[in-house]
Amino acid sequence: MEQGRITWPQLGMLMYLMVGATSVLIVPSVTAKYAHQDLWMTPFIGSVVGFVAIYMALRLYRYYPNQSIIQYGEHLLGKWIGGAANLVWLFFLWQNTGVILREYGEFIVGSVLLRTPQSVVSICLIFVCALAIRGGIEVLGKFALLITPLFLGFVIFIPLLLTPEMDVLQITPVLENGWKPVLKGSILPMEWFMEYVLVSFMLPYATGQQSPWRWLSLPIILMLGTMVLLNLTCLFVFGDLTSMYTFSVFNAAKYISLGNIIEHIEAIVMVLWIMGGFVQISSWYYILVIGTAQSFHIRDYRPLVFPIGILIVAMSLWIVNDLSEMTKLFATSGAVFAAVVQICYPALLLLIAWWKHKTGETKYRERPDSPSAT
Amino acid sequence: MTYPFFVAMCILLLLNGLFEWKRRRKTPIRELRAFFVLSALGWIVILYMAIFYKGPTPRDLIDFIFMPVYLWLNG
Amino acid sequence: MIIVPSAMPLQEASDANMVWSSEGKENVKNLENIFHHCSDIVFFSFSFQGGQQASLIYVDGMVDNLQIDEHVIEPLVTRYEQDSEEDGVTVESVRRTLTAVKVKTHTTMQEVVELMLSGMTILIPHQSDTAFSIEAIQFDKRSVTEPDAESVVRGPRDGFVETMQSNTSLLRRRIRSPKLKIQPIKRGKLTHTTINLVYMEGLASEQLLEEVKRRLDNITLESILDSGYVEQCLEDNPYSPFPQLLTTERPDVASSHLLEGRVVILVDGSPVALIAPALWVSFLQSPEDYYERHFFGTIVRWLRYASIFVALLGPSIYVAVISYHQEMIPTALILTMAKARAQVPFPALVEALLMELMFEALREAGARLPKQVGSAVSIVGALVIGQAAISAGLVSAPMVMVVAITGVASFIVPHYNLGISVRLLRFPIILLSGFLGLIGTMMGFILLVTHLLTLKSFGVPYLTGVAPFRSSMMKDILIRQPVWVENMTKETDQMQNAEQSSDKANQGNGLG
Repeated sequence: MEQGRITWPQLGMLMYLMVGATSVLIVPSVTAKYAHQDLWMTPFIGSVVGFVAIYMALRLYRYYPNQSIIQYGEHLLGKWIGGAANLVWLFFLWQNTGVILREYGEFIVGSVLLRTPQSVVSICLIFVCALAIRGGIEVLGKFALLITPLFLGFVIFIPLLLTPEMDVLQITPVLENGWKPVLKGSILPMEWFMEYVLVSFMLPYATGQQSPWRWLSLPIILMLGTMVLLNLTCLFVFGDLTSMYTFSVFNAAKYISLGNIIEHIEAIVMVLWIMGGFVQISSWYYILVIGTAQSFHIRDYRPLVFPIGILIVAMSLWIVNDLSEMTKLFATSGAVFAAVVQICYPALLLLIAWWKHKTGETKYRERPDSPSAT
Repeated sequence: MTYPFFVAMCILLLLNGLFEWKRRRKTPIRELRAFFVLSALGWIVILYMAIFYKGPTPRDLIDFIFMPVYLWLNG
Repeated sequence: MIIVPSAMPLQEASDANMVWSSEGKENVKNLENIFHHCSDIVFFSFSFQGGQQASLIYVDGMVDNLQIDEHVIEPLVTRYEQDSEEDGVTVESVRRTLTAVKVKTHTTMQEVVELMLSGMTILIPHQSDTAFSIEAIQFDKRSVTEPDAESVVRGPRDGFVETMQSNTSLLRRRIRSPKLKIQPIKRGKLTHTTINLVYMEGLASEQLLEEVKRRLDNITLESILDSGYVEQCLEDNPYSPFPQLLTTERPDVASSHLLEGRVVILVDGSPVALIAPALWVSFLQSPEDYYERHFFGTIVRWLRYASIFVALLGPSIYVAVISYHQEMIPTALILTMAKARAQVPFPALVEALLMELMFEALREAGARLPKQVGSAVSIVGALVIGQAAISAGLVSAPMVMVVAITGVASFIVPHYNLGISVRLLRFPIILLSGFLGLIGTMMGFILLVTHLLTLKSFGVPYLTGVAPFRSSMMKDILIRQPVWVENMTKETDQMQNAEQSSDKANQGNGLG
């Protein structure tokens, strides 16, 4: 299977980009629709879900080291139910990767390359990601380590450069309509923070003496900070109009103007964003490939990379017809689907594992010579 | 989806097949089978997209299963 | 000079003539048959003082005739004395006479032929069954001068030459330690080239040495004419556009890498030494960084890092911005650019490719130029291509500026082989950015970085120092730490650690 190893800091950076790169693409706009000027509070509520997710992943990892959720799912639920659950997981991964690719495709085609067909952009992005994945998880980890400073740089610079345009009073009145709109607006951030449970696929490949908790909480805190910062930026710049634009942060970046020389640098913003997006798409793609290989007990995942890439491109164009449908999907049934797969199912597995552990069944140890050992 | 997209994807699938055909002696039978199944699945999906482009999408599937749950949670 | 017995048998000579007989005269006859039609092989017959016949065989042009006359022929002709009638010509009697020179005895045809072709003089007494080889080698060689491609403002100005003896002595004079080991290997079925593996015992890791030896042993080429042949056989990934071995003509560069625990490979007949393993950051270091003061070294290093980005991505960013993201250019500038580009019939992509190709052609032509036509080509380059093309409206002035700037930037890379890679990799990225704007540039950049992340040089990841981030190496990458702070041994330990755990992520100090 995968012989490479990544360190905990690399894993942390990878998780941050994997979940956080799209979290500031369309999320501010949708949260603004529900929570209005209280949208900066929503990531805090969402981050609780994030901590729950990594807690579950780490506990299950402690019971089943060197295995991912697909593998111990099969162990805990048996061959047929586990297999069915894995298929649902694979479908979820496939669908979500397609959605992410679609988000970036819409972003690029809608803002910059207006006359390029979206399929071209999608195919190019997936091709680049496929080549990166074939190098193994080490390439992903090192790349994440290189790109995260760039991404964080742009996260800090956009608010910094926009300070002339900001109006801090937009944040008032605080909690105008009470907590209910805030909770309703938190659905989307929660949906994003849930994705941290996917770290269970990467945990078998992490080595090093550093503390897992520290380096997995760091991305959650970073992402929390990113979301709050950029949500506040959009709020201060646009006020109530935040919900009007689909890509709020990008539109805010259009207003950066420094001395009439540095203007309209949104293309650079977009490039840095796409770099983060590249890591994100590659990680999801990688998890989908590894998940498929593990479900069907295939040793070498490399021949599977390109066909799955084509499937992802197809899914990205198939799943929804346009952005408004995608937003609706996020806000309604998509959220429930994501919660069931990412929170309820691991919680169920954790419960069963705890019960088995408690009743003293020692058969959960993986035999070293069985074919699904990594 | 439009026909140029379908043709382009078919070409990509063929190129991929050629690339793996050259290496078919080196890869074990399980991987070859998986590759074939996934390529076939991909081809079926894009064929479906080309023919039934107004037909149901995976989103409809998700809606069908989870929309009642969402409405129950809300109401 | 150490002559190394070849691992490969001579196949050019026919088997019938390769036997050694106990009669010296037979052997001479066989040698004459082997070297039939070789007019530069001299067979010189003479008699010893007591009347015994002997033949002296050597390659004309590779021996010191004076030394042979004075120290071989003259003593044998005037002072040779047989031990006794029965023994005939014995080894001891000849040795006793030839005390002034180094003499060895041989009894196989293979050895004799090899040694003769390496420049030794062979003495075969007709009544003896042994041949004697005498070392009196002298041939024309280039004097030690500063290499043209790697000159410095301040620093030593000697460079390797084509003779192995001179090269090893240049290294030995710098590192006067018995720990400097030089191991010879002979490769090349027809050329029988000597390859020397040079390393510091204790500093170079065992794994590295074994791996290098293994790869050298696996070379089965027929001819090795230059170290480039050896380099191409030793590389981890021959399909990569990036070089995985450092090349240098300077003994001080080679010595400094030796002292860091790397291995130097010298090939006879080539002034270019190979250094393994090579990291991306090594290609961006010049010896002058170390000879000047540390402040200068640091600043020039940063300049180099910036230049490599400009050289790689400069034209692509220009094409992308002009074609897709015109709003990024400040208003005043865009008016002049629009005016300059108004008459040009080609889109920016075509213009850029055309000019870059022209620049590469000029550069290549300039490298092979005979001196007589040098000035003519410079005039053609400057006037015709630059000025006239703009006046004719074929290209725009900003494009020529961009091409010139990137050209200058690409020559800042101290090592030519990385410079070529960067120059050639520009073209696909220009194409990508012409089609997809800054996204295309970014994709090209990502593909490049992905490839670099998977590249290894003798087991060490190519981007060590940056990608597996080693904070201890930052003192030599980001800044040039003053010499009085540098602790070379610690860095060598890091190198050894990096090599020993090639695939596993290290529990290093710091990130990554």
